[in-house]
Amino acid sequence: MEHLIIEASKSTPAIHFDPEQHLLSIKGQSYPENSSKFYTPVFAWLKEYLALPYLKNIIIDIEMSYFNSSSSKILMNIFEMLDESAEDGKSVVINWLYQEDDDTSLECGEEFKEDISTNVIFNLVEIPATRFK
Amino acid sequence: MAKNMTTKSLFSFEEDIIRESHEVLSKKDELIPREEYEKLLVRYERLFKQMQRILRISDRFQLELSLSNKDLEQLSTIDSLTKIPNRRHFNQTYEQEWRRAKREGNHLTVGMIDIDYFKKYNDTYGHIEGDNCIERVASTIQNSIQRPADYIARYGGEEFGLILPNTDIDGAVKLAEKIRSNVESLQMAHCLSDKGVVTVSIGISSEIPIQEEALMLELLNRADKALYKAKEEGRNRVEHRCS
Repeated sequence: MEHLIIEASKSTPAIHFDPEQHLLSIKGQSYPENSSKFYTPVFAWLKEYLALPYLKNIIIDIEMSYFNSSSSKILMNIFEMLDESAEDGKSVVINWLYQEDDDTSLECGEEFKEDISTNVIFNLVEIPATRFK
Repeated sequence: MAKNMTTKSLFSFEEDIIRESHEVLSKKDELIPREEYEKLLVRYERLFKQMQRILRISDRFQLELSLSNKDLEQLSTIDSLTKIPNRRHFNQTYEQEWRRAKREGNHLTVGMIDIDYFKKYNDTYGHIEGDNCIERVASTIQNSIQRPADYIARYGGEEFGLILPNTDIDGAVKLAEKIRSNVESLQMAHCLSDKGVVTVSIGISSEIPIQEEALMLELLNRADKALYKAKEEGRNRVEHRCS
């Protein structure tokens, strides 16, 4: 299976999905002109990845300081997909990374955590604030 | 990769539910299968909850953005070196005070304050000392004005703009003289200045606004001309110019 690598732009996050090391990460800001279009390959990749027969553990790191409404809908949809995998008996861990001084990102993480079923482990992970934003 | 893919709808889950609901309802001759419908309802309720969360998240970001907009707006009117209002804010305030004075039939006085031989100061002591000099003069001017409505801004490099609402020329000359003397009293060494210390020249002009914009600019021009006169007459002095 191929890697999915999308470099960050001003309005879109960096997406690094590595199916060999099983490292999935989304990092940055997200307010693309067309969220559905931008995330279409992400959904396609995830669908293929989650269907891998040998896949047992899924871990995804998400660090997003700002995202628009449609991107939060996208995240809900991604979490929905992961939730289905968890229901199928796979172990799913979502790490929501937020910078220590970013209350908004923490609160968003809490909203997502409350929304998702207990089949999924949703961690709120505080990381040091970067000096330059 | 993305080009060959059909875009996945943001609302594919919702669309599924709507489509399936229609299917259920289209079974005309049969009883509506209650169980199927209940399942759809559960799925819909879940999406409804999600949407509420999404709205909360969006509201949160909007609040944050509007707060930082306010901060930026404030920052954009303050001079970063002296922390007093900048020229942009000066212009806004001047327009406001002009209209107010016109409405109330009061005097409006403006002043232009310039640090004497500042270029030479910079060349002699360096830009860091130059910045220090501007800062100290700015705070000295600010401490010299006492009425809440009196206003000082950094107008440009080493130049400050003074707005004194409801003040006639006599009152303004007194205040300007106080500013001039307070700056001189700082005794900041300036070896290329006539007095050996940092001094300022001040030009002021006063008006009871009756006409519109033309006179508004004219009043500033007159203060500027008075400043030039103060420079010509030997600096470290206050000059005023009436119509």
